[in-house]
Amino acid sequence: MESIISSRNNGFPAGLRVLVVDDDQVWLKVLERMLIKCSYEVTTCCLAREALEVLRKKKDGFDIVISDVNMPDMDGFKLLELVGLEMNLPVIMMSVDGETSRVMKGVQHGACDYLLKPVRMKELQNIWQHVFRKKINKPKNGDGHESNDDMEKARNGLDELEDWYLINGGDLNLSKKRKDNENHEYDNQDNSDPSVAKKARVVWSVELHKKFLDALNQIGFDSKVGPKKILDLMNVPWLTRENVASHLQKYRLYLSRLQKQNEPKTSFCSTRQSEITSKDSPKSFDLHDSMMKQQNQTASCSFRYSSKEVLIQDMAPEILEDNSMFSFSPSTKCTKVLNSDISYPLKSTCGSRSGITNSFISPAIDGNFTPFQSQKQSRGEETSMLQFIRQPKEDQDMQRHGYLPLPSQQSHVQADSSLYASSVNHGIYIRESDKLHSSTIQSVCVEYKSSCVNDEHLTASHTDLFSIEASEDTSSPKDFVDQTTTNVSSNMEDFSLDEHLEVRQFHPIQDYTCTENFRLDDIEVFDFPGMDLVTELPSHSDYSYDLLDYPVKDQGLFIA
Amino acid sequence: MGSNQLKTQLATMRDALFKQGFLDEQFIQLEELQDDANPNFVEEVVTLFFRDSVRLINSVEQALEKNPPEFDKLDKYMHQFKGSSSSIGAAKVKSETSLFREYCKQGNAEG
Repeated sequence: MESIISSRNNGFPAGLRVLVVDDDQVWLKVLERMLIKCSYEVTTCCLAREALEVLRKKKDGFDIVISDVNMPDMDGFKLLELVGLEMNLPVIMMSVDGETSRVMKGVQHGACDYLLKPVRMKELQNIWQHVFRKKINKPKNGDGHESNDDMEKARNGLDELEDWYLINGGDLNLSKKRKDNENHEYDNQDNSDPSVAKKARVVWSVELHKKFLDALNQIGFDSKVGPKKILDLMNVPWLTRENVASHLQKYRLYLSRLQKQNEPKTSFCSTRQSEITSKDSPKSFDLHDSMMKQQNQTASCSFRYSSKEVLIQDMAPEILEDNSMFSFSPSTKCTKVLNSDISYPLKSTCGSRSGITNSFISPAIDGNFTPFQSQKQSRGEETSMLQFIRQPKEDQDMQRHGYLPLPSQQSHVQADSSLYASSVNHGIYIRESDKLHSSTIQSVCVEYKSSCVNDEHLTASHTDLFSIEASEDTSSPKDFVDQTTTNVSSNMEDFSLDEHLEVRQFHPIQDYTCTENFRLDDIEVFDFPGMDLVTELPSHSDYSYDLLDYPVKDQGLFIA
Repeated sequence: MGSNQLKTQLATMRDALFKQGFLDEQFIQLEELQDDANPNFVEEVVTLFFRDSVRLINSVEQALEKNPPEFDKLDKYMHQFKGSSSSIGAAKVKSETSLFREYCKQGNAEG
């Protein structure tokens, strides 16, 4: 992804990395030549399996895949599906025969385009648009704005998203509903493949969308607009209420996405997706590691909290700097780090949020910074866990799902970092505690690696959790602060460590463990070019609050 | 002088191929793809095509010899043939393969 960005600077789409898969040697040669002429970077494969291997080996090595439909070793559709799932790359299908049913099947399987052979230069020249579309649908990139054209693009992206869901067998209520409702529109077209649970849908042309917008403007968008009303105003006889409803929803999502794009923080997750997930994600949590879901996960938490957090987020950059400075200076480290850690409990909601974003960050950071970062992080998690315990609300639950998985992912990092820290050692307390840390955490790691959910563990962690809850409750936040300022008791540390453990063990109870990887993948794969972004990351603001001393803590409490 | 003559002859032949509908504009595309970096591009592609064609036609013959002919196999081969012929703009071959496939679908051994 980064390479797209960079190559874009020196003349995107030139240098687009294209993988061509065709069993026909002649075509392979011709296509290669054509693509080179378009100044794309071409890799050719004459077998689908080979292509998959190449793709798996070089994740992120390609921007787009062009695949033949008929191949001896693997159906092009199968390849398309796999590529869509594993790499989330745009795939263009091509074939000699343009039977409607075939093309439809291709699109149903998630092809972003279907070219008919003989493929022409002109068509190939234009394939970069699919990469670009994919990119602007990633919420990170704020290219898409208001015009109808962009709206169209966004819509396409949504469709892709839904296709993707369907392909995964995830039940997306939304699209299911729509599918049912729109059946009648396309009754006469043969849907060749009933196994793929998707039917053609209403095409929202620019004109139609314009009508929709006009109706919307008439009513006024701020209030809760009913699709029925819009439908009446639009005055399009064949359109159903459900059509409008779904389009309205898309439009809302689109708007919120635009909004979010302007904030650095939420760039992780498009609200568009988050809205969908907040409804449907629990169902679709099966294990496919693809962007969307990661984003969904993130989305589900950030979405709920966004209102509270925007403020905090904005403050992020400077604060982070402070923070980092902080942990770099060895003299103060010992106390201050702890200090900040301990103030976490005060922050309840923000705290948990910070846990999330925090863990985003740590993988990206290297060098000295990491250990402290991750230590803090772990504490952030702990505290948020505690908060969770204290307020077992629905929302918190959501949040938990979103972020819980992280710790285990991080357990590696943490274990390492704490080891590191202890070797470098910045104080007795820390050292001791870190040792504890590392040992306990490592054991947790092992547990995680084996990844079997032990029932005994679960029950144990359950009970532990509650006991900790109890102890936590007894000590008020203020107490924590006092402790910090006077002296940091290793007791405290142990305490949090325990929590740590339990928290981790607790995760498997939820079925969402899978997300862990995704989140990290997310970072690596998708354009977080290291520190720059990290500085933008808002979560840190929380820390800085802590560091900035007590008034902020109060605020934290207040938010709680 | 001799080479000039040959060149004209070649051009005439090429034109004839177009006129008789053996070739279509895809061939022109190929010619356009040929440049200094790849001076023999068209030749290479066409050679590849013929090599593939020989293989395919052999397979087709084998499939036809069976009784009854293996229509799905034939269809598959013809599909491939159609694909590669379309790549070099061999229009006539392509249309013939289309016809062949039609017959295959109908299970018409005579076609």
